[in-house]
Amino acid sequence: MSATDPIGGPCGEHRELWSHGGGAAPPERGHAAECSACAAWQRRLQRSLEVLAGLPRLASPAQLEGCVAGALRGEGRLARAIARVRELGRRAPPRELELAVEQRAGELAHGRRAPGVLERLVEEELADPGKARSRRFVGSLERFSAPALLAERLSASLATAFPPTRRRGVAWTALAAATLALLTWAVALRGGADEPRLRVVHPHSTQFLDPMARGWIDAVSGGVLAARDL
Amino acid sequence: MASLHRPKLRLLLLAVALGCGQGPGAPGPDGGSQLATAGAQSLLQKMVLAPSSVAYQGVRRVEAHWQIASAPQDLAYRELVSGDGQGGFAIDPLEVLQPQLTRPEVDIFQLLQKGREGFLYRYRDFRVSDLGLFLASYSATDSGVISQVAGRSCAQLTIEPRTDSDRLWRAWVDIETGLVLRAREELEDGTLVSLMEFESLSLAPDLSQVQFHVPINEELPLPETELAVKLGFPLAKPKLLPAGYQLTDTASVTDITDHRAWAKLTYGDGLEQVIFLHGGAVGAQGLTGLGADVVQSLAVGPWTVLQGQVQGQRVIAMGKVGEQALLDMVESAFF
Repeated sequence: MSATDPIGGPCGEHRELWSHGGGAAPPERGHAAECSACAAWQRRLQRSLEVLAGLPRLASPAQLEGCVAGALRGEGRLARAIARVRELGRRAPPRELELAVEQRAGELAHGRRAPGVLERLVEEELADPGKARSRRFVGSLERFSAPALLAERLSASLATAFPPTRRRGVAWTALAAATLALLTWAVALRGGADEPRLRVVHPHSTQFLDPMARGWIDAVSGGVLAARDL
Repeated sequence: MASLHRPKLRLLLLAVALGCGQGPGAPGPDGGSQLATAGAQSLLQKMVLAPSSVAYQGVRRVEAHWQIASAPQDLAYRELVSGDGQGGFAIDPLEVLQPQLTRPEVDIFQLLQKGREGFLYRYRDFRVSDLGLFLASYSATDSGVISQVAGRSCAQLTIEPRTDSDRLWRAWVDIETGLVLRAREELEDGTLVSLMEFESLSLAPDLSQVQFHVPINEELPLPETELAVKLGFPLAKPKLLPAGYQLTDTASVTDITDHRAWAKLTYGDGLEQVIFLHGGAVGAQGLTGLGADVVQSLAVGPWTVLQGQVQGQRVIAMGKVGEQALLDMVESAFF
């Protein structure tokens, strides 16, 4: 359906059905699955319902309850109530309600977003939780040194298994294999992560600091830089 | 330094761990910690208020034993510190003990130190500025020993961050006033990083000759909403903060070299502070010739300083936090 078509036909039926609570199907199903305009309309309606549902509920005045109870007392109260309701004209929503809906919709549409860096960190974590955990904890593990007895046994075994002329070749082969494995692991680790947005360089001296930064860090730190560089 | 062991006083004042997750009045294993915890809370409250509510004057020794760009750097000096008990303060340098400086060098150093006494007082000195934040980020444990510092009876506290850290503090707190009379910042292995120690103290000082601190960097405390108006550029505000830190102050400061205004956002965890400076658009000269979205990071003792230009904006951040924490702050302010 184009944007200029009147609302009728399948679109009109669908919207009528949906407006009266018969359209429980989400936008991606039913008529809306084939009609982008109705799907958009349905999403807007759902959004409005969510917004309205999020508004604070105001209590009716106590007098109203008394009036309603009085009007409904006695025989034919249901008929009288229906007649009174039918007499009521359709009222436009008060301006306060419109403003409240607009404000709530604005909050939902432009609500606080997490900073980009947080999104990146979470994405990295979700993309490979195991890797993230490993990176976080491996660095803090205590490094154990191999017992001297193990080194002695390995030396003895090596001497027995390989004559001195072959031992050097075996060692180089093992070293090359270990280096290759480390490189492969490092590339794989780096390949999965998004690049940070900032590039960090580490100057070798405080002389590279901007005068403003240098002055501040010297001041807050008690004059260590000044005493050194006088 | 004389050490006195007084079990009753120790129990009454500070016998158990302070702020270790137990609320005031929580019973301890010995059944006597309720009083002790109340006493401890009282002392911590005194520590927060003392610098601005107690009139005092004393000579103190300050030391820093730092690594800067992997080179050791030692500094030691004496200074006269005065407080009028109403928020006024002054720090007057007396002598430089280390390194060895010539007389003209000493004169220049002391001139510099007097000019930035406000920084020394607010950022260098050990101070609990917010008890709630402090207790959320640190645990404080009393050793149970009453020590004498500058002739005053002090409780000896060990203060450790609740998060992983390689540093801790030992503070000697005057039981009567709450003034911190000695503070040692140490690495976990006991290596001394910084020291402040009163060598003498008067609680009835003659302050008539004291020249109290007057700000010289035109720092103007402003609410966040007024800051952007004053600066003339939209304020970049970090959204990701180091653990335990909260925004404590916003102000505009003026760079005395080019008279440009910067936004200064100060974040604190009750003890330490991180300073975030946003200088607006990068000028024609840039910031130390750095490229776009490049920041320099340097460790200066326990401090990390970050400077650079991000999204065409000048930014400086510094604090006793790791490089990654500062990077997260900067990145979250601009992206």
